[in-house]
Amino acid sequence: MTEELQLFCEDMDEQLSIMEDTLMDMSEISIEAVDSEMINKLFRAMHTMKGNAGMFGFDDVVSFAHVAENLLDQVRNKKIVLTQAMLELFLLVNDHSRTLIDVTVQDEQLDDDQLTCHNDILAQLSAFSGLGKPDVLDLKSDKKESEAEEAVVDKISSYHITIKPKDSFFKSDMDIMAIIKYLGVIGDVTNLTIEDSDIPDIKQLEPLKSYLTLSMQYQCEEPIDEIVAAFEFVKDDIDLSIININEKIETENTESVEPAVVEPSIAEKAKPTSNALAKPIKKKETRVEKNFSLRVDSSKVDQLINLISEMVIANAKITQIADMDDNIELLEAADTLTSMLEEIRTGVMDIRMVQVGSSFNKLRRIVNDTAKKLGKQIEFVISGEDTELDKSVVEKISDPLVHMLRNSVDHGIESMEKRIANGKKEKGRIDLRAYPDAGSIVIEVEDDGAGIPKEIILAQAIKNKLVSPTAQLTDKEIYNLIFAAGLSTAESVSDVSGRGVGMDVVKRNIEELKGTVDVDSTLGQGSKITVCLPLTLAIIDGFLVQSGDTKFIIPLEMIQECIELTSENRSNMKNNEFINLRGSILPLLDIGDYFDINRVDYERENIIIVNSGNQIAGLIVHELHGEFQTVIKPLGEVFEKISWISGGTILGNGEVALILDVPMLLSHIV
Amino acid sequence: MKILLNELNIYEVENCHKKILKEVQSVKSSFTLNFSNVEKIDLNSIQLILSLKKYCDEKAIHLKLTNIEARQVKQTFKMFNLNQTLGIAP
Amino acid sequence: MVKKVLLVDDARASRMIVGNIVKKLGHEIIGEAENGELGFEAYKELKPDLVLSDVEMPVLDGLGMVEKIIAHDPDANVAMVTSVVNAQFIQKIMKVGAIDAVKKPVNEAKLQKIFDQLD
Repeated sequence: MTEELQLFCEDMDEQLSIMEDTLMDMSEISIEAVDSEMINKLFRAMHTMKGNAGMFGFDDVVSFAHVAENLLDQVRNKKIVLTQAMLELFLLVNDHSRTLIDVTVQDEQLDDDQLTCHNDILAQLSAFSGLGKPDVLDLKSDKKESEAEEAVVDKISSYHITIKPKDSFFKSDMDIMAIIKYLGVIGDVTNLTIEDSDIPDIKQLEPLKSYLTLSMQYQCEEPIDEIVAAFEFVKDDIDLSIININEKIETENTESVEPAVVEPSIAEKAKPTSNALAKPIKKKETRVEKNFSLRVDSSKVDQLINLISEMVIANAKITQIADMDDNIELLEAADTLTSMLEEIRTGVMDIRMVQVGSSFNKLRRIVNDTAKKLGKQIEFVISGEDTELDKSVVEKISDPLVHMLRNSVDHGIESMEKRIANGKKEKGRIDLRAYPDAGSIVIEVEDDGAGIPKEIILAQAIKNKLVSPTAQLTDKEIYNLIFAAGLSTAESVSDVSGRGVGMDVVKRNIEELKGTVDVDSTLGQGSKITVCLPLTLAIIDGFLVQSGDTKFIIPLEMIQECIELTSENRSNMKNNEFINLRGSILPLLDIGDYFDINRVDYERENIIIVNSGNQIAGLIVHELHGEFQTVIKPLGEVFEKISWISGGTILGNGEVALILDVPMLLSHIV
Repeated sequence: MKILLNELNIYEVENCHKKILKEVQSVKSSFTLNFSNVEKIDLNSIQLILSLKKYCDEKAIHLKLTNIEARQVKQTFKMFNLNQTLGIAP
Repeated sequence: MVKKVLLVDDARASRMIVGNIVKKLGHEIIGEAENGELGFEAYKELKPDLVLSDVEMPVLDGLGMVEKIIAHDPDANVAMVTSVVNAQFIQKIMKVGAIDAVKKPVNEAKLQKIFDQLD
C-alpha cells in the first residue's frame, strides 16, 4: 500500500470512528435531543470520505458517500426529520463504509453479500431522501478501460488546500485575503469557497471565534514549500492541509509501462458531483499538513529515543570526567547539554503521547453490543479521556481492556431480573476511568455488579491445584486468583468472554508493559480492576543511591522525601522494622540486608520514603548520590525471576546500577 | 439598517454583531444591510454576515445587502464566491 | 473593452516588455513614467484605467506612489510588478490600496488576471 493510501485509510478510520461514536451518543438519548452538532459530525465524516475518495478516483466510494451525505445534508437543514430508523441505517452506513474502503483500497471487488448490502443501503438512503432509484453497483460490468487522455500540463501541480482558522486567527494581524491573493500571484486559485456549515446563527455567534473553513483548488509551478511558506505568519493560527493532487506529468507519449488506472465499475454512472473533485487523477500524491497532525512512522521516534538514551549515557560520562579533572568549563558545557537533552527527551516523548479518549470511545460499541447480546442494560461511563499515554501503550492496552469490559458485562453485571430482585437499579453501570497518579497512569474498570464470589474462586483454585487447600489467603489474594492461568469461573463458557484471552493473558499483557493489575470486589456491590501503567517505557528520572558497594536507582516520581536515620530513630526502633514518622507508622526495609550486600559501617544512614499506589515505606540506604536520568536496559533472562529489580543502567563511569522495582518491593514488606 | 462604519474589522465586529442582532430580531420579513459607508471588510465580518444569513434563512427573513460600492468589499465577496449565496448583484 | 494603461518603471527595457504584453492583450498604453512622483503626476493628467508599477524606484517608490494616487482617487486601480513577492508584501500593498501584484517575469496569463479584476 502506498503511503498516500495509508494516510487515506487512517483519515477514514478516524472519521468513521467519530461517526460511530456520535451515533452511539445519539442512541443513548432521545431522538428529539439530537442536536445539529451531532448531525454535522456525521455529515462531515461522509463529506470527508467523499472528498478523500475523490482524490484517488474511488468512484463507488464517492457515490456511496454522496448519497449518505445528501440525506444528512437534508436532515441538517431540517428538510427531513431524523427518525430512529434513519439512525440505525447510518450505523449500517458506517459499517459498510469501512468494508467498502477496505475492499477498494485492496483493489478488490465487493463479494455478493457485501454488494447486496451496498445496494440495499443505497436504496434505503435514497428512499429517505426522497430520491429516485439509486445508482446501484453491478457486479458483472467489466472494469472500464482507462483512457490515457490526461492533459499535458507542463510542470504545474494541482493542490487542494484547506484552511481552518483557529480562534486566535482573527486577532493575528496577517490577513488571510492577502495570503490568498499572494497564492493568486504565484499560481491559480480556483473554487475558493467558505465552508459555512459550522457557523451558528447570529444569536449564538461569538463574533471573535472562528467557525469557518476555507478550501480551494490551486495550481502552481512553485514547489510545495513555497505554498507552505505563504502561511508562515499564520501557521500557529490555522490548521492547514495541502494535498498535491497530481505531480508533474511529463509528457504524453511515455511507453505503455504506465500502469492502467483501474476505474471502478460504476465510473460512468457516478460522477462526483462537486467540481472540486472534477478530475481525480491517480498519480503520486504528496500531503503536507501543518499544525494539524504529522504522521510519522513510530519506529523513527523509537530510533530517536534510543539515540537520546545513548546520548544521556555519553553525557553522564563527560560530566564525570569533567568532574574528576575539575574542568569547570567542560562541566558547564556538559550541564547545558544535560538540560538540552532533557528538553529533547521530553519533546520526543511528547510525540508519542496520545490521549486515551479515542481508543476508549471505541470500547463503547463493544460494551453496547455485548450488553445487547446478553439482554442487559448498561450505562457505560468514561472519564479522563484526555489523559495522555504513550501511543504504543495505548495500542497494547486496548485488547486487555476489551476483555476486561466484556468480562464485566458478562460476569459482573447481573441479569436484569436478578438486579431487580436484589433491589438494584435494573440498568447496570460500568465505569472506565483513566487518571495520572504518581508518575503512572491508572486505568480502572469498575462495575456495580454481583462482585467476585470468593468461595467459588477459592474452591476452583484448589480444585485446579493453583493453591494448596491449607493456604491462608487474604481476600485480595483470592480476588487476584482470577488472573491465574487455568482458572475458569464461569460455569459454562459463554459466547461472550469465554472465548479469546482469559484474565491471565490480560495480566501478562499488562506486565509486558511494565504495568500492574489489581482487583478488588465487594460481594453484591461490584468489582473494580485497577491497571497501573508507566508513562513511558525507555527512560526514567531516577535517584541514585548506594548501599554498601552497590548502587541502585529509585524512580524519582515514587520518592516522597528523604530523611536521615538518626541514632535516636535507631534506638526507638528497638529492632522493630518501623519508625514513627510524624505520628504514623513507617515500615522500613534495609536495602543492604535485603539484598545481602557486604556491610560497610557507615556513620550515617538515610531513609528514602517511597510511595506507590497507596503504600508508603522507607528504604534504608547509605549514600545518596542525587538525581540521575536513567536509560533502562533490560537485564536479560538470567535475572528474569528477580522481580524487585526492573532493569539496570550504565553509569557515566561504566558502573552498573540496578533499578529498583518499588511496587514489587513494597508488596514484599507491607 | 445602515452600517455606519467605514471598516468592518476585528475591532468593530463585536459592536456590529450586537447592533445587527438587536435590529434583526425586530424585523419580520426583510432585513437590509446598507454598505454605502463600508470601504473595507475582513474575513471575521464575512463570518458575521454568513451567520446573519443563517438566521434569516431560518426565520424566512429576506436578507438584502445593498450599496456595495467600495472596491475592496466588492472584491472580497467576489473572491470568496459569495455573491450568489448572499444575493449580491454582480 | 480596451483599457488605458499607465506604466511606471525606472527601467526602460522593463516598461517595453510589459508594454508589449499589454498591447498583445488588446489594451492601450497611454503613458509611461520613470518614478513614483512622475507616475502620480501622469495619473492625475491621464486618468488611466490601470497603473502597472515597479516597486523600487528613485524619488518616490511604488508604494509611496500608490498612497498618493489613492488619496487623490480612491477608486484607482494600481497593480505592482515585482520580482520578490510574499504574503506580507501583498498585505502591505493591499493596505495602501493596490489591487494586486504581478510576479516577474510577466507573461500574458499573469497580466490577464489583473485585467480580469477591472470592472
